[in-house]
Amino acid sequence: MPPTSSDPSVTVRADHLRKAYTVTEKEPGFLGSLRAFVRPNTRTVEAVKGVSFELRGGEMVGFLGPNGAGKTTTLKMLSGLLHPTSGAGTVQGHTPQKRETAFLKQITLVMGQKQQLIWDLPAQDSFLVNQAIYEISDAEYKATMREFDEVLDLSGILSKQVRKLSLGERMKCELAAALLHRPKVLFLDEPTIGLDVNMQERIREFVREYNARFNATVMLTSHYMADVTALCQRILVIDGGELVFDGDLSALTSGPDARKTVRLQLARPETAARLSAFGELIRLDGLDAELAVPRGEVSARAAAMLTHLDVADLTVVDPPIEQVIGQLFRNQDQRSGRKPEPIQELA
Amino acid sequence: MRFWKLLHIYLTASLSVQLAYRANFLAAILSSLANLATGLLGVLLFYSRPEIKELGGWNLEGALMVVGFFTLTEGLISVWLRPNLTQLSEGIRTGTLDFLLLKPVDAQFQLSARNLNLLRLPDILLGLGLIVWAGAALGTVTLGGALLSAVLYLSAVAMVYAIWFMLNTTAFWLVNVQNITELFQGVFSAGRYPLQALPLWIRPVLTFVIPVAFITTIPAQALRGELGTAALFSPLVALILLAICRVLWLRALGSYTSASS
Amino acid sequence: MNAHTWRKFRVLMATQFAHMTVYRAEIVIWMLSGTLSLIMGLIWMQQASAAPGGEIGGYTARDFASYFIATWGTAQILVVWVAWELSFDVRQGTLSPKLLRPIDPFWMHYVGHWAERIVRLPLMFVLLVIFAVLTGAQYTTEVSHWLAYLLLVPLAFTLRFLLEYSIGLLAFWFEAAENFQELVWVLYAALGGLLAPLSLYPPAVQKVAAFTPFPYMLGLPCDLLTGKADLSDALRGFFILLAWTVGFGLLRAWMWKRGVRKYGAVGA
Repeated sequence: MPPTSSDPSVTVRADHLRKAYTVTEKEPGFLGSLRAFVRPNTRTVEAVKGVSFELRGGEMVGFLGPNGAGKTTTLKMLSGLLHPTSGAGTVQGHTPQKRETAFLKQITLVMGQKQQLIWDLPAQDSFLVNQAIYEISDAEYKATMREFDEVLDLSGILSKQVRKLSLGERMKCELAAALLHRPKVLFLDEPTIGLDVNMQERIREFVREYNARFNATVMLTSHYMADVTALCQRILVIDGGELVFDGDLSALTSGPDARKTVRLQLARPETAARLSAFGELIRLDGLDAELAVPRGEVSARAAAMLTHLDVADLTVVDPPIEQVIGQLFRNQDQRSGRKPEPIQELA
Repeated sequence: MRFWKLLHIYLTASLSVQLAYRANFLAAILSSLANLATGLLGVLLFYSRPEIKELGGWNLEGALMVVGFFTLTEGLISVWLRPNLTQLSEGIRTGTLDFLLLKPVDAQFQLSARNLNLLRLPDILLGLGLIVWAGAALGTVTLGGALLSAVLYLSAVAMVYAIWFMLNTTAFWLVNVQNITELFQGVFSAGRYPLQALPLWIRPVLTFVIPVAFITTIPAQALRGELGTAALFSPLVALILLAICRVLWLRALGSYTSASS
Repeated sequence: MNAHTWRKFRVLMATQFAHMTVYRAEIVIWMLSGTLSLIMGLIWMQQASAAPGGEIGGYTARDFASYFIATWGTAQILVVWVAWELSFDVRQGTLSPKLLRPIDPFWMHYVGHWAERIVRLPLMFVLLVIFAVLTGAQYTTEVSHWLAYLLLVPLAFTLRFLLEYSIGLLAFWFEAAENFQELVWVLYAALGGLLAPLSLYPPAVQKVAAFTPFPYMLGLPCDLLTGKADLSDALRGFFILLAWTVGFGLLRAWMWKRGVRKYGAVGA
């Protein structure tokens, strides 16, 4: 579909975004080091190979893919940190790499490892710095902080040194600081990674509230299926630098191929063959087993397992995202008869 | 003999890592030149004045010898001591010290030999070169003097090692050791110049409080063919410092491993 | 200056001051490690005492003491470490969050340095007084000279900051770029008069030094305080420093634009 540059409801547009890097290669061992010192070998790696999509105001989109697929690279291109090798990105009508002040005031990029809070000072101080930098009035600052506090619960944390906060407390403050200027476009790169379940819930709720309140466009990457199912209607899947799926989440979770994982703790050991009668055996480790079962048949199959096997404990969970995506590729390839592409690793 | 094999492995591993960064090679050379230039410029400036014939009884060649020993020592610190001993503070901070302690090799040896910054080798070569050149220019260097100088310098190296190791052992209690070593470097930089060039009142401080004189001035004196009585104390001071260093280390290690974390 | 700009300055200053106060122990140690001018001073004093006539090139031991204490203090005010910070940011990728905000990181670094200077000042004064009393150092009583000093030194600091910032920006193109800074430091120390009053240098070196900004950053302000330079020297020095500052200001801005583009091309 040709991009319509005049559609005002489109807030984020990627138009054949491509990013290629040159990396140096080294042979192992001491002689290899010497050779690389004198004449390094280089090769080109394509991290993103021409990705195109459009997001509208208020949309919350899940951006999924295996490690090294190009998710973070794409987000960095859309936020202006990386310059595309070819292709163009447009966010709120601006070209990201120009880094215009008006553009920067409307976006935020939250990356797991890189933080913006000043380490040795209370989080409060970093908030005040952001207020000054983004030219937020006192009234608006107070109102925003009040709203954020309601959902995130920042009481008692703001006056503690950032270095003394737990990971969850720090993440809450990072998010609050990143959204203080009420940006209209949010790029969230693994915002819940490493957090406990309660904190993940709270962060999700915060993002959902923010999106509803300010009608912000949200692009979210995550390793946790729960993040995606809780927040996103639409998902984009990227693999090996290419966009391989752009559509409704329900296609993954409730389509005819959707599956659930059943975790069994057996009271007595069983053979792999016997277990495979109930579903696809993913893992068998002594008395622990995991089976993949079609979503619609979960209750029937679980009942069958409880009847015919000696089961100590049975739980039904969402399969990990990688498995869901992997399943998606297998189905696509089965339908198109194509062999799956190997995943490119970034050097 | 295991130690020699280990040393060989440590050496090639260090070099491989450093070759990976060509820019660091250039940077190290720039750094070496900068340090040498600071020392030489100061000395040449003094002797360029007609009023100054000798600095505290040292002529130009002798003074350059002292600069040479200073540069050589700075080189040893950059190549051997600094990269190794920062392992300790890093290891404590990140917890990787525990891995080191689990290995069946003496921890102090590992911490003293694992990392070598060979990119700073030029410092050592420049220092040695300056000593040899100044000695030749002086013309009165004897074999006996040279041998004595070497022995006194080895003693000096032992002192520097012990001091640096002790300073880094404070990593068990202080967060930032780099500041303490910076402070030492600040005082040690007085070793660029012959002790006798400095006012009388500071000479005992630089001999008995912080043994800077033992490290640069006394080996140079030996090479010049002169020997004061202070020189006899050099090996003794070295041994005492090494002993204190070892005791301090074992104490610190003891309290570290017995504390639960 | 509009309200927003004033607020930005106020908040950044307050924050950086709080930040630097956390590091006050480190700052004290950094201050005490800067011994080069003190050591040179001691040797020159010793040589002057031992020299015929008790002076070298017109400087007595007391003159040397006055000069080198002033150099020590001035060098403390001119301390800049931004090249290292920039290099670190580029190498570790911590520059990225800074690029996402609508403010040039330059201002954070600049204000940070001034905040550190304020934290440093009290102890510095105490030490200066102690040194001066111990050595019998003497300084001019002309208020105009002291005012000229207060005008020149902040300008000299800004120049030094811009110079080091430009060196730090080389990190976009070269790894370990901050090591160039060590060579520049040697030039600064040598030609600025940290090793000796410039009038004692060989005439050829003095001529070369005049083409660099260094003598006017360090030697000139100190000579003003000891009475060895007059107000016309100060005026001349001011305009020379101003020219250099504008030049490096332009260079920095240009390098920053090019550098960010390079950073975006290679990897953030």
